Amino acid sequence: MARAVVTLPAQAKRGEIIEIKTLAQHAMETGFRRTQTGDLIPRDIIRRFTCIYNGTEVYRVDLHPAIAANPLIAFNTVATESGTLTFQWVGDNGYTVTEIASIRVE
Amino acid sequence: MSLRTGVRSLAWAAACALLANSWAAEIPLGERRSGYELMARETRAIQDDDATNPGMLWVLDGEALWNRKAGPAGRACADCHGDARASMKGVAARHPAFDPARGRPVNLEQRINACRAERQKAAPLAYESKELLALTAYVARQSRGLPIEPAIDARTRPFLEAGRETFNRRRASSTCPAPCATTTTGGSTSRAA
Repeated sequence: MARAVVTLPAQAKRGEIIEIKTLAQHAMETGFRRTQTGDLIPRDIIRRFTCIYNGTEVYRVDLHPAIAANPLIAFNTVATESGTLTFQWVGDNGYTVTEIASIRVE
Repeated sequence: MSLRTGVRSLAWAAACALLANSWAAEIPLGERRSGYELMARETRAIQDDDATNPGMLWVLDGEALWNRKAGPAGRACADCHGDARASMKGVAARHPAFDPARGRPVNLEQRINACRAERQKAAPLAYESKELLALTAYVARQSRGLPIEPAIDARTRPFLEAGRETFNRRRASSTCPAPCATTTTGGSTSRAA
């Protein structure tokens, strides 16, 4: 169960600054922790988050160890035209989650 | 024993008795506060908004599990209970509840697992497993905002008293010198998820 939630306004005025909130379900294991028997727990984190608005990348984050589990990424962008926003989280061990949302701009 | 040490030890005994009293005293209902009120403003803001509350990820997983068939009986939770938004309203707020079949109170996780074993004929979910946490979060979500009111009656009172006794028992621990609750079962909050 790899899940992510994206929240953004369904419609906006052209040129309006909109807030987008994203939440991804992930343990964000740092790779620095050890088990009780001393074995290193391998790193398992999200490495990169991108938001593509009608084919143009408008936001990107590189994530590192020590970012909390279930990272909440909130950001702003300008509503330029109606269309789709594609959100992608890519991480260790083949983790990939893609969410698509649409927005109507008037 | 000199007079001074005698007085000192008396004062010590009185202080201990006072402390013991305050440990044993019930907090009046009107003065009970949710842990929510001790949270930082930013943490409250995250919890208050479903778009940022990570617990909602588990609620969504729980909703998917609610509708998924499980076990040899080939039944989903929804096949018996229908729409959880109606059928599960208030259920989490009533737990732990007395289970006549077992002769003891069960918490919400145990109730879900009992239903799973008896109706779905499926293996019980491990305590604290992602699946059980998700289903519990989804069921508890339907009681959001309702006061937590487990029924206290003649059947549950002995368990309540045993719990009170355990909670107040002094025990050896390097991190826990005062009587304290070691929550191994996840504890409970006074505010539904």
